[in-house]
Amino acid sequence: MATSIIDLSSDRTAEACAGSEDLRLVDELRDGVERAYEELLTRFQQPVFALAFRLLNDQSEAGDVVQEVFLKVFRNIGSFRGQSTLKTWIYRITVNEAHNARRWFFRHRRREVELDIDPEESRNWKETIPDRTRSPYEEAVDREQHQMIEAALEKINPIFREAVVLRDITDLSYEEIAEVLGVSLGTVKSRILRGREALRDQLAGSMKSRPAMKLVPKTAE
Amino acid sequence: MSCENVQELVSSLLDQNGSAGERQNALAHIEGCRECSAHYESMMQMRASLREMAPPAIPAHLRANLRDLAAQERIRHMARRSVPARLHNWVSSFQIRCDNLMRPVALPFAGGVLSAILLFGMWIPTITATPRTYGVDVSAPIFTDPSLNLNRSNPVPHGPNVVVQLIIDERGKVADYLVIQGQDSQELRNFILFSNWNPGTFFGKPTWGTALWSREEIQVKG
Repeated sequence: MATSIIDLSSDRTAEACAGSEDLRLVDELRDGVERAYEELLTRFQQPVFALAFRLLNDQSEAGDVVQEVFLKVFRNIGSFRGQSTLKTWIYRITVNEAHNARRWFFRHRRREVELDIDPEESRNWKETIPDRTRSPYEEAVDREQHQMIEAALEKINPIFREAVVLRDITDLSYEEIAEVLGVSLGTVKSRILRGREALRDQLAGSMKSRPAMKLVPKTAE
Repeated sequence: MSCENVQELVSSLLDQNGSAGERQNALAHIEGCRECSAHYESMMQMRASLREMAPPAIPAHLRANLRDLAAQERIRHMARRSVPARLHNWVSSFQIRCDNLMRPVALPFAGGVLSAILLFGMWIPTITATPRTYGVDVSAPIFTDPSLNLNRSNPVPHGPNVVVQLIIDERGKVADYLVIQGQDSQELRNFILFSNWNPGTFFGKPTWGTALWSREEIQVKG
């Protein structure tokens, strides 16, 4: 019991610290402090890109969305009242922008042919250095598994996908997801449940459709 | 608790959500039900796989674009804070636009001006002539020497050979003279006194000048 009380108080202290940190950052952004702009980018560019990428499953689209998100954040920072955390505010903008991008994509670019450069080629030298801690087999399995999950995520309803991504990948709480999506807590629970089940069904379907690899032992002749 | 109810609660179990009693009942059912246990396991594995997914690396060009965007938005924000800042921003943006507009023509313009100055400087000395004050050379169009008016009213000098330097005023009258060679004589003085001269000119206007006059006696033999 004592442990839980301590944990709760430490959580509240952490939340209060994060809130005051957010307010300081927002005040500095309103004052035009150069360091604050850098800090905002350092804190949020990677998670915002990851969220946009998971929602759209397209690197170039995600890049455009990230730029739109930060443009809106910089221009509307004056209207941030601190009623939610800076993180949920920015994530809410990201989800809305991703939704708009998806809608625009389906209206205009469905029939276009992708001419983007290969993401493997566009990576910088740091990203191309091999990681010696994992074996190539493990990496191949992981990559294949991630590709399957990404493909399955793309196939489920975008409404459910948003909820699953925010909960299981971005690791937001139910309350934060409710703030980001602008829906009630019950709706969040329902969407997460349905999203996970839809994702599980998709993964199960893709596993069944794949030909199983058979290892046949042979002796040397 | 039915399997259907438990499978609906699996999501809450994964997130440690819902009441403690509900969760305990659901877990107890899962331990005893093979189908619900498999469902719970598969959901746990899927969630673990989702969490293990590495975040996609943000492209380098996107990072650079975001930094540019932040810098531009900061400048825009600072420029809109007050009226003087706004005015300063307008002036500076106007200057930048002018600079950008003039930069492509600045070099050709400067080259044209310099070459024009150079060519003009080379051409000017060819049209300017040094004014001559006196001399017996061929008169330049700017300065002309006095010359004897060859009409009948001039007296005809007689006597020995003589060379005289004359100073002629702007009216064509002899102001002074100097006998350089030969002998001064009454006839020579009469000639100088009554002779008419065309005065020298400087840019078309009569002016003082010097002239050399000589008389040689022509001797005809035979």
